Amino acid sequence: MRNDVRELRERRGISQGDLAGRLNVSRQTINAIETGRYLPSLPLALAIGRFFERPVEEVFHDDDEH
Amino acid sequence: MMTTSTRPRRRRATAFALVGLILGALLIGLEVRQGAPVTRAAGGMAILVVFIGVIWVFQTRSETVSALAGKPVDERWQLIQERAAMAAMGMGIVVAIVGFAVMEVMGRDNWQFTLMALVLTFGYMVALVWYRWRV
Repeated sequence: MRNDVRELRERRGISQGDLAGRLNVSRQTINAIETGRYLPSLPLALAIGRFFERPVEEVFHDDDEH
Repeated sequence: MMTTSTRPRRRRATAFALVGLILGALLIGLEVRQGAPVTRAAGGMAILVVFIGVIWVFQTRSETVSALAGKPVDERWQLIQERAAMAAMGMGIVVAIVGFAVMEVMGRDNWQFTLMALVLTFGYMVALVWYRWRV
């Protein structure tokens, strides 16, 4: 599973800590999601999508998706 | 989603520390009653107090200590905690099997390891059934 969280976050000009604060998770969790080490739960994935005003499937993609 | 608010974590920490201290006091009482020197029993209690103190003081500052105190800061830490618990159980199983075998070979009583294996096995089975309905 790949995701565009880092790209979307950087486009907004916010730090991992800021995003973590908005989503009520730790900064390390945001880092783990961005680097693909951790796959978030559905509620957290939805919250991330909502934060970036994108459908969740636009933020998270299958590995074989282009 | 889980919150990172420190207030419930502090309340949980206080409860955790109190339970630990009560258990420690009970243990020290039992040891003294069984004839152990008071200094040895007090030493055991001191280790417990230091451990609880470290957890109580640092759990709102350190995510690892917070997880150790049973309060993961978010869902990823919850997963980490579950994996750590599984790893610890795996180690317990290895100890039970190896301990049982070693004692068997030495011809010594191995009921402690049998009991340990029984608790781990039945605990796992009961947990499977329980979470089958809960999750």
